[in-house]
Amino acid sequence: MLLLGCAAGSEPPEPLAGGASFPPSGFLGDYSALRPGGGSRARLVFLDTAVDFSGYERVIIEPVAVWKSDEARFAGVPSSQREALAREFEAELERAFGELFDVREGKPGPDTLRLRGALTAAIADSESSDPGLRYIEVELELRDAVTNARLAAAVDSKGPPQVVDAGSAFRDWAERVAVRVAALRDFDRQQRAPSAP
Amino acid sequence: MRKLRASISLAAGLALGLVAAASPASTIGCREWLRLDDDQKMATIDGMIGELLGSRGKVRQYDVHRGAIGRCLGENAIQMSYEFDDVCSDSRSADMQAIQRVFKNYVWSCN
Repeated sequence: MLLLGCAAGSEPPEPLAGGASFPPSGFLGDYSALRPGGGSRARLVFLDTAVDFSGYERVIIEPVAVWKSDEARFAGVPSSQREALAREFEAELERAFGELFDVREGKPGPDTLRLRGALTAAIADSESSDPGLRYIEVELELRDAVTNARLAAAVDSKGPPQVVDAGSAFRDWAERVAVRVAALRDFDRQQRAPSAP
Repeated sequence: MRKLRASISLAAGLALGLVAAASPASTIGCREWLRLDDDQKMATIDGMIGELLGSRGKVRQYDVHRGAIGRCLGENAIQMSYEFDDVCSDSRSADMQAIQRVFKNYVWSCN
């Protein structure tokens, strides 16, 4: 995978094609533990595989941030639209996790995860009259809500050559993440279940 | 070797799955893993995937994404078996949950 250097200015960085993407935005802070997913897997991923997910029932979803480390990451997308996109992603996360976990507000307990997310790039598609985007990127992090230990993280993007429908992209990411966290929980519950005689 | 592993038949997998039905594939330990032949290893991974997707948890709700996880895990099964071999052959990492840790990493990262 080709990682582009940070580009300055408001024009979309070139070239942004053929699977190219920005380097990590800085939202997650420490990227040293993240590894390229490769192939059909997510772009950058981290999972603390020693964590037992079996007890997690609740998820606190923090407001999705617009992480503007570089103006070129949001070329052609005005501030109001960036915020709208972030709220749309947040709503999709709440919906998807709400199907699988308790996402009500409340005091965090040992059964509670905290989900941090950011929209880290959204570049307008200047060649299309459709409202689609040329490139979009998000970063997500899952922490234990009590200990604040990082349990999992991911960086992923969608983009050229196809135009990106942001709503579809957010729905896809939100459901993928929610399903995977639930799958990890189910897998760990299987480990703890007594074997058949 | 890779071709041999890739050529496992569904029948062999099913047969092993039936024999091992009382002992979930997802709980296999390194000692047991290292005694398996290539076909049995692939059948065990098939069993782990099947158990994950067939669990009674709420993860069943998003069938499209469940199917995608299953396909991705299946596509990575050969690579996964080599990683199981590696982690189980290293005395520093070959504990009771070594295989499960590798599998969980695939579950999280598979698109």
